[in-house]
Amino acid sequence: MSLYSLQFVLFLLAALAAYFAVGRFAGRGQWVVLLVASMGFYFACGWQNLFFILFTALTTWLVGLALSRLDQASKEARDQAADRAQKKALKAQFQRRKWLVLLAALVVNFAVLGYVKYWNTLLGFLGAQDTFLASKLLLPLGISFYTFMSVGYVIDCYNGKFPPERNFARYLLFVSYFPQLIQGPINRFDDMVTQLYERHSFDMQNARSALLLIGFGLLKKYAIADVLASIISNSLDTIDTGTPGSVIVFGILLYTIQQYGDFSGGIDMVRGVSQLFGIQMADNFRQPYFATSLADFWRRWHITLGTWMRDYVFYPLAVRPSLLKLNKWGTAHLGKHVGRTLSACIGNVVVFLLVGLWHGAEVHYVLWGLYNGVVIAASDMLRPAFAGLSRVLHVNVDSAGYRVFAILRTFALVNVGRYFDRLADSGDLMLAFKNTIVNFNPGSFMSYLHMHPTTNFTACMALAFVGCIIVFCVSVARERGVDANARILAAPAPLRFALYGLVMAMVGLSFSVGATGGGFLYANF
Amino acid sequence: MDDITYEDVVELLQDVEEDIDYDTVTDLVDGKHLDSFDIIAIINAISDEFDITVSAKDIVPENFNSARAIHSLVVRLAQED
Repeated sequence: MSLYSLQFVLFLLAALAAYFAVGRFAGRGQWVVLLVASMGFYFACGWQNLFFILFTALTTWLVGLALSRLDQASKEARDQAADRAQKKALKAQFQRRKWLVLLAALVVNFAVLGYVKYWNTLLGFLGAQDTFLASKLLLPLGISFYTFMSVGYVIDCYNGKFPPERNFARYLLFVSYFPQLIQGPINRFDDMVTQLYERHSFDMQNARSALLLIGFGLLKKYAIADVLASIISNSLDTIDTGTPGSVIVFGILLYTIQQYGDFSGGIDMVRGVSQLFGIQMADNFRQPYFATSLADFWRRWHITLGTWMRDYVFYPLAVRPSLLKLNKWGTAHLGKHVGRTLSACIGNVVVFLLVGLWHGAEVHYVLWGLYNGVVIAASDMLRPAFAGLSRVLHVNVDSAGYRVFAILRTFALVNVGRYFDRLADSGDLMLAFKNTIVNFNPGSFMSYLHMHPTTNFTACMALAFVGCIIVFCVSVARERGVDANARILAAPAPLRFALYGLVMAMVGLSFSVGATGGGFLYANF
Repeated sequence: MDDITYEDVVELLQDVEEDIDYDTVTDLVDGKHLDSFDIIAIINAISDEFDITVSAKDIVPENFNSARAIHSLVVRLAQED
């Protein structure tokens, strides 16, 4: 069931009606409506998917309870201990048991994810993709997202961040809540727990705000991302030695726009859908193309994956005693700054390697992850050198001009990364870089596009251009701390309805000029 | 271990990131004054200076949002060790 289908709209209306009716007449139990709707949604997307999500939910729920029991047993045992030394030994003993239980949960759940997501790609590397070993399973909807959410829950239980959920049905709702299943965000249990189970009454102001968010998402997805799809394909899908670098750069720039429109548009839609139920899901984007460094970009793009990686991979890795020892070595041999950042740099490269693998096991994703990790690590390692250079050149890094320069520099770095992301074939990738540098050839730009025509090229570009202007204006307002949604909702009715009309007309037009309806790029991850 | 003073911690923090007024800023993490690399540099300095182990579960904004919170964390961990 796709988000843009009539089927989904009817499903949503029925779920909302049942949800608010139960809230009004029964006064409690709205979460049960959400659970039934989520299971129904998942069943409609393929009943086989249910097996996987139930397995993940059950194993992680049981492990959460087991960790809590071990904590309790540890406390009781330590209360009986004769002295401090015995208490310490008991603590270490129970900590080891907890670690083994956690490890089992991680291995089991990542093994399932690894099998359905990477197994066939790995067989492909070995030339065995057509053998009996190949998996016939389709990637279950949202498995990366709900696996990461569930694993995050288990690690938080391990760290004693919150007590485990004792009711399996309630926990299952956290894992399977349908708005987050298509492409995230990767919600945290402690952010969702109260919202999912408390009573929500229908609130017209909240519904208007949610519909506006959905409308903004529709604009980004259909009037920007989808209308550019064919032009991007024509620019990047048949790269040879004669493809001008200018066309490749054009295609990559459009791909950068398409990625943002598709992913953030989809997130706006699902966050809007969730808001209709009175539940605020985590935001995944904060004007990423206004970032002033690549590290800053990753704090604004796919935020929930970034914070998941930071909390559950980066910090645990970077503060490991072995890496901190490496820092000491670095301080002694390479200077204070390098010494203090060495473990962070290594942790960062590992994180981005995993982010690359999260998108797929193909080589280009690994390269893309490494590119991001190495650039960020190197820029931090060289921070004192850059600061010194700025002082020598008398550059005011706090000026507006420098900020614009930093935004443009970051945008360029992001676009270089998009080469790795978009061009799956290593030969194409190398050729694309080569042509960009030695065969830019802007004079052949128009003739190449004429030779590789795209249906409704001008209309698609014009639509995306107007869409980008609207998104840019909203982004500037948000970057300045203005609540753009609230401003629009408070605007005079004629202005508001003109804006709604424009957005709807653009979305409607996109269906007639562009290749729409191709699903979401991130739904495949 | 009460010989680790607030001033010791501030001195250590200034060594990592000097352009912050640690006596007044109380949103070091939430206000994005410190990023994750700075946090690791601080933990590294704490480990070096006070011979204390900071584990990943201690890395939450509440423990790093102000110099006072970091001092409390260091004192607590020193006592636990």
